[in-house]
Amino acid sequence: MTATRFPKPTGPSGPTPAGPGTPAPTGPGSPASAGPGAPASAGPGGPASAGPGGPASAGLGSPASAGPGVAASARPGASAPNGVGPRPHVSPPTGTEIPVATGAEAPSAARGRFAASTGGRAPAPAATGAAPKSERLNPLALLGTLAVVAALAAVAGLAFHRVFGFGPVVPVVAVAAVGPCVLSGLLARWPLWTSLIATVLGWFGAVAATALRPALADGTFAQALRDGVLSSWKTILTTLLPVPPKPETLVLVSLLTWLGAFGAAELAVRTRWRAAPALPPLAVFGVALLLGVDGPGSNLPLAAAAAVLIGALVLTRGKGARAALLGVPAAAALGAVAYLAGQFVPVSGDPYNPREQVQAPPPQQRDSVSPLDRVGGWLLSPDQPMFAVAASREEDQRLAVLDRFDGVTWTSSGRFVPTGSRVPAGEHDSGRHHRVDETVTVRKLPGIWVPAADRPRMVRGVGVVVDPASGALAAAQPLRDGQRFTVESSVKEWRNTDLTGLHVASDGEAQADTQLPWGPGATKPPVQLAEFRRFAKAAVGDATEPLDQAFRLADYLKGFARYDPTAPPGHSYRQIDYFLGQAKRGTPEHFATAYAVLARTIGLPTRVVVGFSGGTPANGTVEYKSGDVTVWPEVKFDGIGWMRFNPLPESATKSNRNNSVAAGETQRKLEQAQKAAVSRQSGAGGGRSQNPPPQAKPAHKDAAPLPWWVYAAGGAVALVLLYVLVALLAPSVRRRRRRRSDDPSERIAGAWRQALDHLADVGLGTSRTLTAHEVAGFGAGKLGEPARAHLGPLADLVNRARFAQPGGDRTEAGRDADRAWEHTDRLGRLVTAETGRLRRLRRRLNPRTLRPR
Amino acid sequence: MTGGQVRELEALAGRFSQMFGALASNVERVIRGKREKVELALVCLLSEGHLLVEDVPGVGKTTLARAISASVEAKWARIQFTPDLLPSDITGVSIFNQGANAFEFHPGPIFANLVVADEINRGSPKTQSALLEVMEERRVTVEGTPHPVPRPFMVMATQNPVDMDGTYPLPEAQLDRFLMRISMGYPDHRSEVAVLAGAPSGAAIEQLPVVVGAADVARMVEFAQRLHVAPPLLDYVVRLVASTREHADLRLGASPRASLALLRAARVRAAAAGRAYLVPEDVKSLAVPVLAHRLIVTPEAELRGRSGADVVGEALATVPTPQAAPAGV
Repeated sequence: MTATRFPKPTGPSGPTPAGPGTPAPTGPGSPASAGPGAPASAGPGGPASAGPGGPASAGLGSPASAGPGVAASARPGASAPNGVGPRPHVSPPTGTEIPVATGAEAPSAARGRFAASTGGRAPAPAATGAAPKSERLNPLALLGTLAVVAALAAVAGLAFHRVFGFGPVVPVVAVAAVGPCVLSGLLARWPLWTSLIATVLGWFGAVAATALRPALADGTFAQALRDGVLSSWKTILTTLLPVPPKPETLVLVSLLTWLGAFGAAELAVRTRWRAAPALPPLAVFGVALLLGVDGPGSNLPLAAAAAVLIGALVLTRGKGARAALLGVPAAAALGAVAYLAGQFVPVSGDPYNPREQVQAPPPQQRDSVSPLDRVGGWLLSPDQPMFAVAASREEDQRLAVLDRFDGVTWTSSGRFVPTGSRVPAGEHDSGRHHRVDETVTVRKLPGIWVPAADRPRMVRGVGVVVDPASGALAAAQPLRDGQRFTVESSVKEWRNTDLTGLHVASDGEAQADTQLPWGPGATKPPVQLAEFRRFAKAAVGDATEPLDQAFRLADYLKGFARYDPTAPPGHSYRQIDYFLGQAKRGTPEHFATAYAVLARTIGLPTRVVVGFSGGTPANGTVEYKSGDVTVWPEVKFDGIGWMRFNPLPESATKSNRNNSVAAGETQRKLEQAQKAAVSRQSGAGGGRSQNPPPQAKPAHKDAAPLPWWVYAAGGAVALVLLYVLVALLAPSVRRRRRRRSDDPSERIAGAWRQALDHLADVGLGTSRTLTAHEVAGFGAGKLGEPARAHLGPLADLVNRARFAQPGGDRTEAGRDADRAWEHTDRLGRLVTAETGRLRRLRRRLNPRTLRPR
Repeated sequence: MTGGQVRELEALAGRFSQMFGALASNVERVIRGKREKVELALVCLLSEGHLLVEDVPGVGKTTLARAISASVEAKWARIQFTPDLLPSDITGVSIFNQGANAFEFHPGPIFANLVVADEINRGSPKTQSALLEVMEERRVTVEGTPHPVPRPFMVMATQNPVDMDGTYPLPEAQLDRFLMRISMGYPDHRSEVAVLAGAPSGAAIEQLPVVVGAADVARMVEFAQRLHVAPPLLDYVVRLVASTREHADLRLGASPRASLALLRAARVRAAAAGRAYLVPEDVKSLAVPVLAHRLIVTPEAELRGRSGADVVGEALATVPTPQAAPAGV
């Protein structure tokens, strides 16, 4: 009786059972001592030939002497026995779908067989994007990815430059973008919680070293940190941009950039998702865009840089350095093209501005004494130096704008908001302007009102709040002697054409500025109002045009009363009545307030402005003294905004001013333009109604943007086309990527994934509880025996690539990969024959095709 | 591991597969139409485990054991369990030799390579428990002296369904020591006709040639345990077994010994398939025979007709299998 001998393994021993029956390491069956007849009897005979003589004929040969039948049976994909024992526990396909289940979901076919479910099950590692340790990036690739992530986070953080300017943001962002990437890289192999703790500690250190360094020095670190984290966004939203770079506001930049960089770095080191690490920095970028909507500068270069970096991120996380080498320059080139093209993209409408949703602080009494109340006193002691201005061009200095009259006093309704330095443009800021740069040195000017030429655009050197409507400035702290600051103003240059066809403004502000309240505590209208109305009508005569009325009223007052700085101050109804009815002498306070009230009685919206005019030249500056104070009224017209009128007699600008400079040229030109416009209207005969129907808007406004739905429809069509393009291209791109991997085992896995895609095209989904051979069996059941000839070997190959011990022959592995793709290609042709073009197209357009299986 | 070592392992796996196939074919000459059961029994043998064959009388349980023992050139013994069988009838006894003036140990039938414990559940619990030590530790201790049993050693127990009269259900501890439990089942019509037309099984068994020797079996056992197991498969085995411990229908889930047994059997199955590595099919195909008999179903679930095999099947259908191609490729 002859028995077959099994060769003694020569490799390292595995878990050999201990015991007396354990065979000796060497024996007659070892390859070295292969029994007689081993090589000669080795042959292709396999189990099928086993019989009384069959097993014996298999021989005692060592592996080397095993015949081709042995070698072939050891190769998956060839004729290896596919298994013994009972078939795997799977259910046959029900209908056309293999049940798909991930994690807790039991496949429906399996549920059909086993009625009850055990409920939730933890998904396999492959069910998530989490990268097993063995599949994580190599150190060099990790370094490259983290560098790109840090750059992306830095770009996102730099988008705050529209909030703070580049200077304060750069150092904060640099530290906050790099720090978390370094920490995450160092702790990549540690649990996530260690990285979380490290990043929290790291951020405290970083913010203490950058944004809060000043606070660290003066002991307010904790307070500034708390304010920065909890309240800085409120401060930013209620401050005109650029926001002063205070430590507590820069904390927000540091925090968001750090969070963005941390999230991106952790996604980069702990997942295989290629583009997901870009999401946290993009979120930060979005926040910065929102907070900086109204700010100076543009984020277009940063957006282009972000696009390039996202492309680089996807490529560096891809497989193969060659793709990165080719792709990164391509992404850079595309980014450059996008940047250049982006400047010519027509953008209709204003971007969403969260500041518009923020309720500005209500009007408040910003100074205990109105500057209008100080006018009389200043004129009585006219030599008190108030402030000096070194300017590129002489302009009247505006101090306060008072638009609310309660019958006794004039106050400001301005909703003052903090600003770093910038003052936003006014509502009607079109037309020609010239720039005026002034350096103001405060002398004895009391209060908080900040003098500047109308309209200021930039203030530096003093903390101010600004009324965005009027552009009036107020200091955050009362002005002090010697304080110096600079103001950049944009002064409107009035032209004759600006004053033609004017109509009274009818907006909400204008309506409020035509109100004549009865007075504090009054229960009936003051008797003076009727008299004022008669006076005003008499003053304007037959003028019907608003500009004509306003000009005639100013002209009438010039000659009606005389300038007298000793006139008792006051501007209530009673004192205006005294000024107009009895005294007929007064200060600019009286002339301006009388004009404003009279104009309101005939429907002209008015306000009064306290300012300084003239001034005394001294050492290259113009020194404004208390006697240079003046008050003028302004009337609001539709389309051009507030226009100044001069009701003061000529003596008011010449008295007591032997050394004064001439009044502003701008003002003179305005008066001339007003006079010319009024003359033209008088010549034309007038007679037009005061409030005719609004004329058509200027030509440049006629070219209104297309309706929103046109853009929406266009965008939707573009999105659909983009989706179709991506859906059609994605499978090809994915197939190309799978096929061109450098690693043969990945190519084999790619071939299997491609085969799964083919099976999906015939309606077979995949289940996470099925093995490769089970899937192959279902596929063969659907496509027939020809498919089994490809799916079976393909399952063997992919099983071998995935589960066999690494370290095999790379050349052989490459041949296996080629065979795998050959099987996949033939399977694809079978599927093409099985399914019609229309069905395949429909499946291609299914959103699921965009997601790799 | 170098490419050469990998190739050598693959070649050895091919030889293993050849010999396994030869063994199975040899046994199948007697046990017709039961290739799967035969292969499972051989997997059990080469895993150094013990096999419990549960079925009604007359379906070939004993014949299977005899055919395997005849094919592997191993000593076999048969113990017919009856209610009056004593432990010493199995393990052997020490008898005083007056000539040598000393006690001599007379080994019982357990000292064989393949022991057929026929109708084991007809033995009393005390007698059944006599098998515990030898099944786990492969030795018999009599009067303080250990006596090792020969290798390979495999107990192939048969039992009738427990609801038949005059049987004692096996305790959990003993059930856990069986690597697998299988059921022979009736042969299909064609096979049964072939049995009737052919020679009686007893005569055929005696004609069976020896296919492999005991030493070769030992080498095959050693080789199978050297096969490579990818980490995801280890994880899969643990998830599979752990899922039975949380199941609401079970009073007792599978133990870590069950995990080891499943992996050990899966290695043999992989080698029998000519592979030097395991694939998920190896685990899935053996899960029911290896795990089901170790699970104790709650009375309520039992009333609903649930069994351990149902629970294992459910676990197989819900625990995600390691995917051949990782996601994202």
